Amino acid sequence: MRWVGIKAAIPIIIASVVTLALIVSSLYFITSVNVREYTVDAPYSVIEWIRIDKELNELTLLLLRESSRAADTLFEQCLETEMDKINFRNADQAMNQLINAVNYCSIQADNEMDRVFNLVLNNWIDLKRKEGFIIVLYSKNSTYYVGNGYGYSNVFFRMGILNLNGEYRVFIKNSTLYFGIALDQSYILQINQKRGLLRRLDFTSLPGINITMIFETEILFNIGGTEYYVALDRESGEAVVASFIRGLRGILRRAGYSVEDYEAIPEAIFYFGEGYTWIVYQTDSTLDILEYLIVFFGNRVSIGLTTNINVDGVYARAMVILRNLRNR
Amino acid sequence: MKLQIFIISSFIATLLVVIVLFTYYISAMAETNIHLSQRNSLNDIYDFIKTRINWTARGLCEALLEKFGFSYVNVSITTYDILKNNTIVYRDSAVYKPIDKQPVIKSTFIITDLCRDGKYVEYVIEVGWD
Repeated sequence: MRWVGIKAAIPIIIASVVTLALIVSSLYFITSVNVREYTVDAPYSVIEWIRIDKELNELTLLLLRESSRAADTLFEQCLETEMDKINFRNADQAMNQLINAVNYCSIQADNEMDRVFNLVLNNWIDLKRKEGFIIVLYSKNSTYYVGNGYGYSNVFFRMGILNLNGEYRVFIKNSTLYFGIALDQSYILQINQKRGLLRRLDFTSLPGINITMIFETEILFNIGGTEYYVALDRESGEAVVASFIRGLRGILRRAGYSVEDYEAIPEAIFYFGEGYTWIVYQTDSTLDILEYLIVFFGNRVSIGLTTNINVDGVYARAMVILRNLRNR
Repeated sequence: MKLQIFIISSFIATLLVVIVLFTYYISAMAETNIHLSQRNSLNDIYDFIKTRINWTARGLCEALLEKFGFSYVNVSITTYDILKNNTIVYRDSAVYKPIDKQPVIKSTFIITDLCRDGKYVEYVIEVGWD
């Protein structure tokens, strides 16, 4: 009988063990964290500041875009007017006068940039003040500069904002488009060396002599402290060459040369990384350009031309110098 | 007799396991899978407005009613051109108000959006719940 009792208790013991195991494991499961769920939620004011920051980023780009465009347009008009005053037949004086004209127009364009920058910035501040924000502008600056081999457009402001809850934040925004350009003159020099020969020949009987120009450009776009390297695409590369050729034609016309239509289509564009691009351009019909260059190099002076780029609607302009290396 | 005891005790043991399973797995564990999340409705409204560019006041009013189930919505949209001395280029407003009942809680939001072309869109939205 004793043995029978133990035998009968075996299933109960097994069931108890299984049940106990289930209870313990279930309790462990229930009391431990299996799923962690985060709900992204922040107080209204925090979200509001994030939005204002985003809006200020948009505003900074808008300011750079609008003011640099206005400045660049004014620069082009100004230089066109100033170049009419320069005597390009006198190669010795022309270069100095041209550089003076570029400097003068760069200052005029910089003033125009300031005007548009202040106008748009104040308009935005007015709208925000109507919504109840208190805005203090601590410092602001905008620059449009056209230099020898490089140029840039820049906007900067430092602003304190007090919202309707009485919370205060300071925002600093800065954005710059830098454009560097140089012209590889090795090909032009080869033609320069033939100067004596070419001078004795009738230019019109020289078909097939082209000038190959290699433009080395560097474009950096700084948005709010982050620097982006810009690869010059085919369209922008064409625009750089077109702007250069337009300037050259302007000089030729003023120097009294018959100007043919030049196609400003580059042969090739190579992107080297880190913002550097090479544009290879070959003039199709170059005789008058060639003649003019020979006259200039014969007089041992350089000529300078400006060319611009447009990155996402932002403009920057730089002066390209064709330098007579024999002066060195 | 031995067999009867064995069968009865096995039956009781199985029943015990089933009861425990029911208790823990159906009642207790189901509770652990419930989570509560609270969303800030203003952020939802902001994201919702951003899904479209050209809202009309009426269109936005109807969309807010349908999406969030407010009982009262008052929308006013004004677009300024900040490149042209804040000239107003667009203005529109719409109200949805039920006749039979008044909203108990009201809340007003101002949401702004600066576009690439210099257009500054200001949405003034007042919503109410029963």
